[in-house]
Amino acid sequence: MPVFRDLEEMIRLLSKRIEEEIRQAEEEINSEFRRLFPEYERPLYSIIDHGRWYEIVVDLPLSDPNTLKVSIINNTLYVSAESTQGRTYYVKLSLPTEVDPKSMTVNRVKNFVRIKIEKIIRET
Amino acid sequence: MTELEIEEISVPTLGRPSYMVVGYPDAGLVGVITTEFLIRSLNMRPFASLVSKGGFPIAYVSNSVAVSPFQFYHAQNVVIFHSWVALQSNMVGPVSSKIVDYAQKLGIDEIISITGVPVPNRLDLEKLNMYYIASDEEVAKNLSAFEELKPFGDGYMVGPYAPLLLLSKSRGVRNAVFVVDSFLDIPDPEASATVLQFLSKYIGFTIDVSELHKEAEEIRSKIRGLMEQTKQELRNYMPGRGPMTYT
Repeated sequence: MPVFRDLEEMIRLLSKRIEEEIRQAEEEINSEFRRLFPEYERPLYSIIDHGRWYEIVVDLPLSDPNTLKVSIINNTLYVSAESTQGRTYYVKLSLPTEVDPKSMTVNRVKNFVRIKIEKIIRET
Repeated sequence: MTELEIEEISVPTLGRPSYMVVGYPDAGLVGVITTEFLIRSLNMRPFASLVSKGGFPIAYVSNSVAVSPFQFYHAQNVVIFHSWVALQSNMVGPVSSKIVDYAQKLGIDEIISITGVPVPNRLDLEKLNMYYIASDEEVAKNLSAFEELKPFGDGYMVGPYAPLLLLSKSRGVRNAVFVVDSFLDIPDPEASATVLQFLSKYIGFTIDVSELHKEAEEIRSKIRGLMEQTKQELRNYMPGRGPMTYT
């Protein structure tokens, strides 16, 4: 397993259970989706929290860049693409905090798709 | 308590110094991508399996034949332990203990572990950093002589490589851990290529990693299932079973 630089980093990992619960609920939705639409494949992804913004890296190996579709509706990110082998990648992710859809940028880096979205931070 | 045994087809004759490279599914699947590539490139043959008396709930099927998901391979002075499935958290201790026992039985000079250190800017890195962690000061001194490696310094290791390191240490078996910048939950063949480049120099074999770069997308596509399975287990390795992210 990974190694970590400090205990604080490990603790941060442990403090995000709510996000995990959301993701687990999503897993169930996605699993149901896969049952109903077996031709779809769920890509692997990483969500990196940079404080004021999220970076989502989606792995779409052997996909056709011209078929990539990314959108945000009601704080849920949708990503789909066709693979060159006839598969369809599809994933929907509920973002843990409110984001500004207009701030979204999408680009391809080393055959990965990188999506950046700013969080809406309300001053109290 | 899981009772594990080693079933041997043959006993390899090893050149010196001899190494056992351990590939566990872990961060970015760096270890298993590395060992699988070595098995293919060096045309290594399985000679032993790790089996459970009670039977594992999963089998690896190779050429339509079921085998244990934990296999030992051999070529020249290298033995590879390759796990074709993610290790459940209650298995990491017993499996690692058996690996160290078997390394001692075979007279292995050094166990090599390969893992990743997840970095949030992984996608932007052109050159990946490699670090070492050692089972003792003598191993650390040896590794510090390589300019490709930086000392890891202070930190924590969680998961299957941790008991392997500590059990090696307590039983007096040398264990060198190579840690490379990687993704956490996306397979990272590029990180494996960085390790392989160094490993060929360290162990002394010739290997062309350009194939691994070429096959990177195919590999990522092929081992998505193992990454999903590993991702779930990674959470279980953490005390309190929290999620795994970079933040």
